[in-house]
Amino acid sequence: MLEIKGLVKRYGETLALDHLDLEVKEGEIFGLLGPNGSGKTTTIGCILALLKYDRGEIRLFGKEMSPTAYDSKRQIGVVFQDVAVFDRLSVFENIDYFCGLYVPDRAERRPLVEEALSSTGLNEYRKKRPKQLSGGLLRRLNIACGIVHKPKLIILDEPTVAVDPQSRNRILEDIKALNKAGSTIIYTSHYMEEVEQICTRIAIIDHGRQVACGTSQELKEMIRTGESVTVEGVVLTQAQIDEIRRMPQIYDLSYENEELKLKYENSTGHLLPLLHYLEQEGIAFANVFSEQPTLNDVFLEITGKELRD
Amino acid sequence: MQSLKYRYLQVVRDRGNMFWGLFYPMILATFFFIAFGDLGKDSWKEIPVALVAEEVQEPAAMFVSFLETMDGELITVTNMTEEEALAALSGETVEGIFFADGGDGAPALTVGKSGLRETMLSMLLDAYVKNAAMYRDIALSHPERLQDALSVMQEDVSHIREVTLGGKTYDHVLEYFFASIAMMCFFGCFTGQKLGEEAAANVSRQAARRSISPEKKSLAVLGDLTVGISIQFASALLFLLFLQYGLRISLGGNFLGMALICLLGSMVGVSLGMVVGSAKIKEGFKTAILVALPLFLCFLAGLMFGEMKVLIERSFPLLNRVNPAALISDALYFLNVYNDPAGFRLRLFLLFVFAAVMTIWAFVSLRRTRYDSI
Repeated sequence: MLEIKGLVKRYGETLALDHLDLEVKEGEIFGLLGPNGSGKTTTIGCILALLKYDRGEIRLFGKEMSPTAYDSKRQIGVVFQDVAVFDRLSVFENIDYFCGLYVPDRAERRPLVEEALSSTGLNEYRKKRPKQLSGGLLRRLNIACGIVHKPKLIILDEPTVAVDPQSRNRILEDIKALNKAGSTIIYTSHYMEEVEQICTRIAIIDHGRQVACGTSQELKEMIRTGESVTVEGVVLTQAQIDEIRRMPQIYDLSYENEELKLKYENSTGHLLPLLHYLEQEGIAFANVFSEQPTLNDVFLEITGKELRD
Repeated sequence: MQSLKYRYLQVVRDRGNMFWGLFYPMILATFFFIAFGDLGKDSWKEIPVALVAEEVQEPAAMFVSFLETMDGELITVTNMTEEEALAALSGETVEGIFFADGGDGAPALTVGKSGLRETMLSMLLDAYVKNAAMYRDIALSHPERLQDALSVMQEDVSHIREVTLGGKTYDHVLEYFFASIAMMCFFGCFTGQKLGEEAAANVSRQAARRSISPEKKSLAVLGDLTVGISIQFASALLFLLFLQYGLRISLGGNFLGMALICLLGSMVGVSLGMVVGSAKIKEGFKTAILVALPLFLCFLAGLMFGEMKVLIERSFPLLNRVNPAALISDALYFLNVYNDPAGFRLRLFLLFVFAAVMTIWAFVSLRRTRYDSI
């Protein structure tokens, strides 16, 4: 559906996109993950033919994307990070206006507008002006304006920034519903939990380059860090610590203030052998918990820095 | 059509812009009307004056003849003795006293208070004194041509009478109202600013959302220009009607001509706003430009000081040809006051060139589809 090859974009001396390659397949929820300033929004601007770029190729629906690629544009819906609605139009009028840019026929448009109002839960606010809406409702209006014409490809550029948790969950559920209804989604965010929660495939970009791409599981398997186990309130002798260190696949161990931290390579299922050892040795402990690697661990290991800069 | 309908709604619902584009000029014109009294209205009343001319000889007798020719036009003259005249002035039955011989044979004027009508009496005296000096010079150097010169003076007086009877006013207070029409056309720049911002994808997110749609950019920009200019033009027509029928100011009879000037003026104002609005600079700076520039141009066109345009015309006339506000004001004056078709056509042509250049500039700067940064 979308193919980007060797995209280069400079802002003066700053290299915003450095030979970026991406491929989004039909039916995916494709996550574009990266810290602020990594080039996510610039990538979106280039895909939408809003930004000039220095080199590279963008093909959408099998055709080269350009400002006059009206057939392709007709099939795209965008939800920008900043709310992009008109203050002097009501909720209904805003959705109807933006829908009218894609669907000129009034009779054809009307049911689409009604559906967008219902699906985003804005029906009862249809006569309100945007300034009369809460932040969460405003975000939903922003989404409604972007998806009302039922596009094949929906691009959401950080749609949950500055949104309360309740509205955020609602937005994420809406995105999944849109995907189930047949739309391909490109979702940019620097919130890794969100991306992990809804995306079927994820590309991590940093400094305008794609540093990794795959499903959440594939990305985690790319790195050395696997399961992490923490045991709290445990008293160990040096001999016991050495014994534990010799257990298979442990590559990092720390013991401090009666807290034991273990890092395993790749695989899962290390908790039971550890607990078995502690029971066998009659070692008491307060708490034990196991953690799987996160996308932040992936990002940290690949780029050497935290995702949330 | 759907898009146009909503663009119209957005502009009309913008109270701030509608205030500056329509109601503020109305308020300003009302202030002018209050400040300048009933000048310019059809119901002009002659100024009653007393003439003290007891046993006068030449050259004072020439002044008496001059006042007699003006009697019933600008002023109503009553012959009185000095005591009667002073009593009439204090009793406010006359507004000024002309002394045919105020000393050394030169005429003099006494008024009871200061005001526009009293200023007009003073201007009348000044006009006579300047001419009289010329006639004295002619009498000394070419006494045989004196009769011809006096004939010309009579023709001048006749010309004044004709102009007045023809429904045209000699009232330069109208300059203020013409300049206020120019200002109201220019204040369409605020509507233009908003439209420009909402059409440039590198300035606002709304514009970005419009730009990524399959709507053709050139059509979208033409639509926005149409919306802005038509609303400002409609506001200008309302303003003309307000001046003519609300304040009962006699602007002259050619409403269609004035409407054409307002249309071109609205094109200049709205296009200017769209050009500035689409620029990627701070919003406060844009507003500052759009407040300062029209006011400065209208100041040069006589909005704050009615004689300004005349001063510029005398010392640097080119400025009046390149100042669109002066062109609007001038075109209105040439249409309604001077009754000079050639002068009117020249100003209309220059205004048309301005409007065309500004509109094309706005169109070209807004029809961009790709940007270096957004």
